[in-house]
Order: sequence, then C-alpha cells, then structure tokens
Amino acid sequence: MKKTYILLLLILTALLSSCDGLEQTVDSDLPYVEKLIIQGQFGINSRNISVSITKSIPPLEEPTLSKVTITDAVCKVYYKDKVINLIHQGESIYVSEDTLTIEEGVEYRLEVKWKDKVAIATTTIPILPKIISVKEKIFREWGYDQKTYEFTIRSNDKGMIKISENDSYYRDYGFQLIDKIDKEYRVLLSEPIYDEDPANISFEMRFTDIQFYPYYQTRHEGNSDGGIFSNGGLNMEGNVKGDNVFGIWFGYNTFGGRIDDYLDIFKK
Amino acid sequence: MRYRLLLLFILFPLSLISEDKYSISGIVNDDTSKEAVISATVALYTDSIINKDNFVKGAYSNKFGFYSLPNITNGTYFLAVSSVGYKLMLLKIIVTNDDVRRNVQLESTSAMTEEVTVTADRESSPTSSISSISISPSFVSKMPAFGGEVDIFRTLQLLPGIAAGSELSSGLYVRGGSPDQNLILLDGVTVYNPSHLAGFISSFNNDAIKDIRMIKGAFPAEYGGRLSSVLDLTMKEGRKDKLGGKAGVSLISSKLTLEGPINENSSFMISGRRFYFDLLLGLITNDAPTYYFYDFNAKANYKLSENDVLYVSGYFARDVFGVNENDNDDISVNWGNSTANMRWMHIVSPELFTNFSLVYTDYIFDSNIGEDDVVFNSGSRIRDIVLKGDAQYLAYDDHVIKTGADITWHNFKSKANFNNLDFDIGSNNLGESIINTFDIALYAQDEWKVTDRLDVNYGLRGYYFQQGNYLDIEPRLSATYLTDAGIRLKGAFAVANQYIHLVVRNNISLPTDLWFPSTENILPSRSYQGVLGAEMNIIDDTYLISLEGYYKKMNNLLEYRDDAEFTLGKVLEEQFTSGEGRAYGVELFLNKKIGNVTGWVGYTLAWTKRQFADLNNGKEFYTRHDRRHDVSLTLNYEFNDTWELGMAWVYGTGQAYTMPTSTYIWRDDFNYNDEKYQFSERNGVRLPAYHRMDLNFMYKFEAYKLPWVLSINIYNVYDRRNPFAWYINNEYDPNTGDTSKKLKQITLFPIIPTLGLSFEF
Repeated sequence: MKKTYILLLLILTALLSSCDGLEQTVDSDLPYVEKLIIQGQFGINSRNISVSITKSIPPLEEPTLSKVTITDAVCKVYYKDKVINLIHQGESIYVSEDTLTIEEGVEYRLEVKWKDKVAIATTTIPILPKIISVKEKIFREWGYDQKTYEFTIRSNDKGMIKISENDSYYRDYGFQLIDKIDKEYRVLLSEPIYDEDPANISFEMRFTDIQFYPYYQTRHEGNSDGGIFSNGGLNMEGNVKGDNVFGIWFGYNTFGGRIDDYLDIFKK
Repeated sequence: MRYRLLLLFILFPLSLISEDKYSISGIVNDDTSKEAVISATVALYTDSIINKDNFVKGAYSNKFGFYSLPNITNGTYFLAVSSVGYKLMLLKIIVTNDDVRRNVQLESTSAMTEEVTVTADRESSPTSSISSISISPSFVSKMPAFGGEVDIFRTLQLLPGIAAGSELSSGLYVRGGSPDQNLILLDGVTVYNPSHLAGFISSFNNDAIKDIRMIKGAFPAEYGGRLSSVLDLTMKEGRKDKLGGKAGVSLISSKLTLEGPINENSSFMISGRRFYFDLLLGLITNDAPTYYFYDFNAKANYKLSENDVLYVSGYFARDVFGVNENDNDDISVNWGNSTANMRWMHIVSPELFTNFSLVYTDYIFDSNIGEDDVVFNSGSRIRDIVLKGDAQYLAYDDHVIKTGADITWHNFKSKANFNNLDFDIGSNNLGESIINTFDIALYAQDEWKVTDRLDVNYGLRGYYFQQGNYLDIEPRLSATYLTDAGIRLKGAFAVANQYIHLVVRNNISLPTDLWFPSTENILPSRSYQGVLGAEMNIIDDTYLISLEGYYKKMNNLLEYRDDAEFTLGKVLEEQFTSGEGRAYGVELFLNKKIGNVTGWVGYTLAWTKRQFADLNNGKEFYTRHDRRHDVSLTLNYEFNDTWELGMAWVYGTGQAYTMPTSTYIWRDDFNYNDEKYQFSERNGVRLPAYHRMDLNFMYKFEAYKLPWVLSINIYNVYDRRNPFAWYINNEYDPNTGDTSKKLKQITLFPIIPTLGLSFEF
C-alpha cells in the first residue's frame, strides 16, 4: 500500500507542475515564399493608369511600406498596338508616363518584371448595361420601413455591377454578379435612401470586368494568420498570373445619373 | 423449359445432400453467462485423439453462436469446440439416420496463458481475415484512457491503418478515408454520429459491448453503404445465470451496467453513462456554460423455441450544451442518436440460418439562440426505418453462402426559423426543408473453400437509391492462399458506393456538420480499393505478423467550397464542391496474442490525397490527417494477481497544416494599407511529429466481497508538448514598448493523471 501512496504522490506532483506552458513560442521559422504583389484597377474616365507593385516578406516580419516597396520593377501596359511604360512615382506606385484615353471593349494587358518574376494580367472594360426601369421599393428590416430603388437592367457583357449614391463610402461593397448576357437583372441601390425626393438623389453605376468576381468573393481572406481558432487559411484570389505572383488588375466602366430621370412613370 | 431450368436451379443444392447424409448443428454458448460465443472453432473428428488424420470437417459459429456441419454419414464422431478465452470442449456425437442438434457450452478459462486480446484471423473464413481485426472489450478496458474514460475508438486508433484526426478527435480515419466513410453498426444498426463532446469521446460504452470487429477495407458484400471501412459492434445479450453488473466512476463520468435473467428463456442488459464534469464545475462557478452527455444501451432477448430467438435492443445518446449569460440571452444546443432494433433469429433447418430486423434510427441536432423573445431555431434530423433480412446457407461442405436484402426509408429534415420576429426580406428563404427517399440493397456472397489451401470469397451487392434514381452494382472479391511455409497470402478488391455524405467545415467533428443525401446534382461517392498482403503465425502461434498494402481511389467526394456562404436563403447544394481522393500505403502488424504480456506493434507508411477543381487552385493536396509514418505500440502486462499494466505509445508524422508563407501590404476597401498573409498550399506545412505514451496501472483488490479495480491512468507520461496548432501572435514587449510577431504552438494536453474505480457484482 505504501507503494501506492508514493505513486499517487508522484502523479499529483507531475500534474501540478505540468499545468503551465501549454502555449509556447516555437523556436522555428515558417517556410518563406517571396511573392510579387500587384494591385491595379482603372476606370473608363481615367487619364492615367497606376499600379501598386510590392513584394511579400517572411510571415514573422512586420510589413511596412519601406520593407515591401519595389522601385526597380519594369512595368508596361499593352493595348491595341500601343505600349505604355509605367514609372515608379514613389512608395509602391507606378504611373503611366503619358495620359491616355481608356476605351470600353478594349483589352489592356499588364506585364510586370522584377528579378526572376514575371506577372501578367489582362482586363477589358465592359460595356455598360442598359437601364430598363427604376422602381421605388419599401422593405422592412428589423422593425423599420426602409426605402430604396430597384433598377432593372439588361447587359451584353458579363461583369459585376454596383449602383450607389454618388457619395457611397464603401469601395468594394454591394456588387452583384451579372453572369448571363441579354438577361434582365434586378439591382437594388446598395444603401437605403433617407431622402424623400427622388429629384435630389443621384446615382453612380459601376460595372467591372467579371474577373473582379473571384477577388470580390475572397477579398477578406488572408486577414488573420489562419490559426485553428480563426477562419483563415485561405488566400484572396486574383487574376494576375505567373510563378510566385499575386494580384488584381481590372478595369471598370461607370455612369452617373439622377434617379428621377429613370423612375417608373407611375411613381412620378 | 424455362420452369424446368428454374426447378433444377432450386433443387440443385438439395441434390447434393443424399439421403444417408445428415447435419450436426447447434449453438455455442458461454457456460456461465449463457451468451452466444462468436466465431468458436467447431471441428469434427473420427477419434477422440485429435489430429489431422482424424479430421472430418470444420466450421465456425456465427454472430449468434450458430454452427452447422452438413453432409455427415452415420457413425460415431468427436466434436471439438474451442474459442479464444475458453477451454477446449470435446463431445462424442453419434449420427444415426437423423440430423443431430447439439448445443455446446464452453467453459471460460482464467489462465493468463490462454488470454487472447486481439485477433486478425478470428472470423469464420480465412478470407474474412483480410484487413479485419477483432478486439476484445476486455482488452479495450485495460488500455490507458483519457480521464479514465475507456474508449473503443481511441483503442482502434492504435491499429495500423487507422489514424486520429487530431488529439481532440476520437474519429476514425481509416486508410485515408474520413470518419463518415466508416459504416458503424451497433447490433446491425447504423449509427450516424458516434461521438460525444465534439468528437472527443466515442459514444459507445465499452461495458455494454460484447464484440468489436473492424474491417479496414475491401469488405465483403454483406456490408455496404460506406466507402472505407466497417466497425461492427455487438452488444451484450445479458447473462442468463444470475443478476450481475459492473459500475465505475472516473474523473469525468460514471457508469452502471446491469444484466441478468428475466426467466429461464430470457435475459436483459442495460447500461448507462453520464458525463458529470458540469456538476463538478457547478460547485465552483455558476457562470460556466452547461455541458453534459449521457448514453444508454439496453438489450433483451427471449428464446421462443430451440430455433427462434427474439432480440430487442436500443441505444440512446444525447449531448446537451447551454449558455444562460443573463435572463435575456439563451443558447441551447443538443444532439444525439437514438436507435431501436427488433431482431428475430430463426433457424429454418440445420442448413439454413436466418435473421430479420426492423430498425429505427434517429439522429437529431437542434439549436436555439435567443435574445429576449426572439429565438433563432435551427437544426437537422435524419430518421431511418430499415427492414432487413439475412440468410446463411450451410448445405455445402466447401461453401458458406450468405444473402440478404434491406430497404431503408430516409427522412432528412433541416430547418431555420425565427419566431416573434418581424422580418420581411428573404423570409421566403426560411423554413423547413424535408427530403424523403429510400434505398434498397441486395447482396449475395459465397465463402468458397476451393482447396485446402485456397479460399475465395466472391459476391455482389446491388443498390438502388431513389433520390437521383441511382442503381449500382458493387463487385467484391477476396482470396487467401496458404503456402507450404505457413504464410497466408491474401488479396482483395472491392467497389463501394456511398449515398449519404457528411459535409464538414473543419476537422473537429461538430454536430453542425451536415449529413446530406445524394441528389440529381450530387452524385454518390464511389471507392475502388485493392489490398495485397501476407500473414503468418510464428513462435508456436504466439505471434501473428501481418503485412498489407492497399490502394484506394475515391470519386465524388464532397467538401464545402472555399467561398461557401452559410447565410439564410443560400441553396446548400451550391455550397458544395466535389472531387477525388487517393490513399495508398503499407501496414505492418506484429501481434503477441498469448501470454501474460500481450499487445501489438503497428507501423503504417501511408499517403492520403484529395483533389477538387474548386479547392487549392485545382491542385492535389494532402489531407489534414495524412501521416507519412505512424507507429503504435500497445502492451498489457499482468504482473501478478494484484497489479496489471496497460501501455500505449504512439508516434506520427506531424499534421499537414495550412500556414502563412509570407506577408504583404494590401489596400483594403477603405483605401487603408492592410496587412495580409499569403498562405501555403492547402495543408502545405507540417507540424512537428506527434508522440505520446500513456499508462494504466490497474490495482485489483476485494472489498465488500466484491472484486474492485482501481485504475491509475497517466496520459502523456513524459509530458510531451505535442503541437495541436500553430499560430502567429503579436507580442508586446513592456521593456522596449515594441510589438513583434512570434510563432506560437498550442498544446492541448500535458501529463494528466486520473483515477478510476470500478467493481463487478
């Protein structure tokens, strides 16, 4: 029986001494894969094309602009039979040397070379959908009546559409996928409207290349470290191709107007 | 002409039995408890001196203890009946112009040298030893157990070819398959969610189980409906001699099993278990969430006649979780399985054995999340009603023919509802979704002893699944050949389909994981698997050494898409993506079967891969449970009548894990520079290797005239800090005022000693 007591004592001692240290710092580095990072988008009304070109750094380092900035990349945009050089302008931004007129339906091809990495992407400015009608809609959410406008559109191009008040604050929010051509879609204004008079409400329609869709769906990925208790572990999806490169490059079309000009005749 | 042929086909088997040939049949029971002895060896000799020259023929008892030796001529014979853990019984049999019915009662032996714990070749034909292992519940009870909670699944995880998903999970990842690909049968009834505590503890109470048989792949035609493996558990029937039982307490739960006779023709067994950590926690604080589980097994049998026995069994398990932060906010989640089975065993003749079952299963998950009077209620439920019949035809010397059919009605229900909420937009997307469907399965297989050395098991299983109108035929073939050197060469091939899929969001088994049937858009999963191997008994049959290689190809596996949306109104089917899987490897198993030291060494070299067009950019990736090397060592040592030791040591290649491989700056929605991580390919990084040793010291003593066992379990004896997860943490240094990133490791369990106490009566 004495042996049993000694054994129990040993077990108790071991238990008490083992309760700490379940979370510990690992004296090891994670594998590092350097990537060329591209971020660029431009609209029909742009006079310049600008692209952010950076690199990724080891995951346990703190990324700052000075650490990730690349100043010696060779960046060009090809369209029709023309080539435009993009020159480093400061921080991570490269801007086209000359002004240009962006055209819808034209393919713009980006090529970035840095060290042994080559990044290539293409985009086409889609043609704007046609607005067929606009209707006022009242909906009830969380006990309150809210007003918005529903646009009926028809498009000959695929893309992602967002219709918002001109002063819409959120850039990458409220887009709707248009993945079938020559089909009517109903698109709600991206935010509720509080002004009663449609004559005072203007809107902006933004219609982006459909390549925007995978990025839009995954744009919040990669925010956390992917630990077991987070929803991480996934990368954003871009449309820039090449070994060890990641990025987005797409163009968009825009159009502005007043709600009142399109409102259903019976509502006027 | 057609009818004559049909008649000839029907009568052909009978023609083999000439008029002067008879059968010897009966049921093998334990002499004390009177429970059926499964897989007892029954051999007929012409002399009481047993040797090869006197051997006439042999058979094995089935799951009901029934055996049959057909085509015996008049004469005097000696019937030798033996089974692991029992003394050899020799009976004189005289056959005179009639069939002989002879039930056999085997006397159990307490001699240590006779104890056999794990057998790879126990079942009724050599072919069924392929990829098949049986473990006795008594061996499971001696293995170290976390928190003193004896767990069948955690013991099975120690076998080669069966991996644990993580330290947190008792799920069985068999030869690269996921846990839902295991057909888990309790008395022939499918159990959908066989775990408590988010997969941490299996929901089967070892005290209620009589027999555990695991088939790791290429299973025969009598099993189906799952891709990878079969775990066939048989509940105790209840001893027929006297009232008895077993009770035990551990750190986290208590359990009680009672069994005994009802009258001379019937007996019962009931067993219950309750997790009471919540009660202990309640003594310390009132703020902790409520969590507990319980399960309940019951079985009764009634002997209607010498040829008819009726069994009624049930199983009920529930997990209950609740949070009541204040009087307004409530969360309650509960889930569990219920099964009921009524089975009728009927011996039509010495040559024809049948059993029929009517089964009801119910798996339910229900959650209520509420604030004030507004409650969001969601859940899912699967209810099955099964009617099945199986027959064994034993009229041939060299054939055991098994056939059967079952029809299952499935009712799948999922719901998502608010109550007391004025909520207009999208309200038509809320509500209930109900799918009613049925499937029919038919099978036939022949265990054919081609020669003394060559055994073949061939069969077909046919399926019809109404939802999607799928009709599939699954061929199954296995063969063994015994060489002069005593090496048994073995090979098997099987095709299997699965029509009900478990779609999970991560590797922790949660009740929110969804069982979903095949539909017109979701094709049935299908596996093709092949096994080649060899085994032999060595050193006076004390050891069994087995080597098996396998290859398994799986099609139409389901996963959630990376961008799956779990909002109301989204069509669930559209959130899935389908892909393929491949698993291959080699398993080495050295099993010491007899002696005061028993146990095994297992080694697995394996690869497990998946490929989905919508995941990992369409590239093939390793699963989280892929283990290149997996070693297990188990040991049971009986020092003396008082002390016994159970030991398990495991080593596994580190888990495949997705981790950041770089970080960068990205302009976010608000035009701010945001830090982002670029991750490795899916599961592209390996955590450090996992290894651990557990011990269970058992001290046996007598008190109140009852045998007691004090179990001293030590989990993770050498306090290995095994990695459960890695993550990156921003740490603040108070001395410099700087923050810096550190790679952190979470370990779940340090050394954990626990005590358990049990007694039998």
